[in-house]
Amino acid sequence: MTNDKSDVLHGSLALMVLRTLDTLGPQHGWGIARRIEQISGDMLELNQGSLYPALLRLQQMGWITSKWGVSESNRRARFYTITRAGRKQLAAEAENWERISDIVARFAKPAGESS
Amino acid sequence: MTRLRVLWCRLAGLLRKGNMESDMDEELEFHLQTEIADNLRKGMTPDEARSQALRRFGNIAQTKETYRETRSLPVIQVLWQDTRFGFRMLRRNPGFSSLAVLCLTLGIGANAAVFSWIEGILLRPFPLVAHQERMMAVTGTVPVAPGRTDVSWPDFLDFQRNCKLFDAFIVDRITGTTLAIGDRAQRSTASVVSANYFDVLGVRPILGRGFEPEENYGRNAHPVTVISYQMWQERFHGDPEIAGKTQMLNGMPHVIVGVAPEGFYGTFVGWAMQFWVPVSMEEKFDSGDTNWTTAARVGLKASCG
Repeated sequence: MTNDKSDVLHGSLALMVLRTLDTLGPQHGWGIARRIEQISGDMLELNQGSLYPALLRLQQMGWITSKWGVSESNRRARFYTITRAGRKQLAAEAENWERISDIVARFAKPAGESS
Repeated sequence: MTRLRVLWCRLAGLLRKGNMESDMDEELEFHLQTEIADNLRKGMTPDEARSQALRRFGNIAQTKETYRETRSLPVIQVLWQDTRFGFRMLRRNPGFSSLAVLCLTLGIGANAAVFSWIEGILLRPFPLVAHQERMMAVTGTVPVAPGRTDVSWPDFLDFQRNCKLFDAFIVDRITGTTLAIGDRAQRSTASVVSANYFDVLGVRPILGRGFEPEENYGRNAHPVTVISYQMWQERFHGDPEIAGKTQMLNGMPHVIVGVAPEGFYGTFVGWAMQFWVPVSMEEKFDSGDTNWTTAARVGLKASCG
């Protein structure tokens, strides 16, 4: 567990959750965690516990909503759905990250590729 | 906007804690159970499944604590807990606590008294008077004698006519009379004032009217009076038909033409006026003064100071 792993995680947890819900539709906490681990290909060590306060924060911001429902295993679970404001936020963050990674990429490559 | 929303959600979380705690427990438990089931499916033993799930999850107690903090406003909660602790400590030392409370009471009481005194005399001496920052006192000086004198009536008229800097002049003089309350006599403080007194001060009588301009003139010609709110309530019991009734003042019946608003006590600091009469009645209320306390309001185009 090196430092850079957790840095990436904190900054982008909102993005990952929103993207997951946008793609998969309503999902419970465990499903979201699972999906994030899948997509990131185990490059990130997601501390699953940190997901839940994050989900609460996203709800408070109005980007997702939650409702109690029944899971595939017939148990009571809380399902989260992305809202319209959430979709807007997702688009904004995605664009932001692309821009940042663009800029950083220019510096990450050694000099010699100047345009 | 989102900030407001977050604050609102957190306030709600602070106030209705009951359900949320069990909901949180249930949700986290669901997560663990699902993870354990998934691990079992992968072929782990029940013990391994459980310990792996817990490890994956991270520190549960920490998560719950972070969750609780995110849910409500920890600042307020901590503040509340500290307050309760403080009260408990106070209860345990009754002697010290009562002494402290006593000192605080005395201190606050003394301060309040002194401040209202200062406010009444220095800061805002004339309740309900409009434009106090533009009102100036006018006095005269006499070449041969030291000190200041009040203004004489002819001078007052001159000022009104000629002085462009001020847009209004008023005069008043303190006087008094004795009123009978049942079979007792009571001294009442009053003012003899110029007819524009109420208009210039921006004090509108709540019943009836103020004085008319012609009531400045004529010796004893206009036995009218405006009474104070306090007198209206106490002496006349808030009679709504008061305008037009008469009151005997200094041996002459005066018609009550108006009632001043509640909280207006005239323009002499420290005195609460019970009624006002126009200048034409000054002979009846002779107090030995020949001059008038004068005040003027600076015109809007001029500046003070």
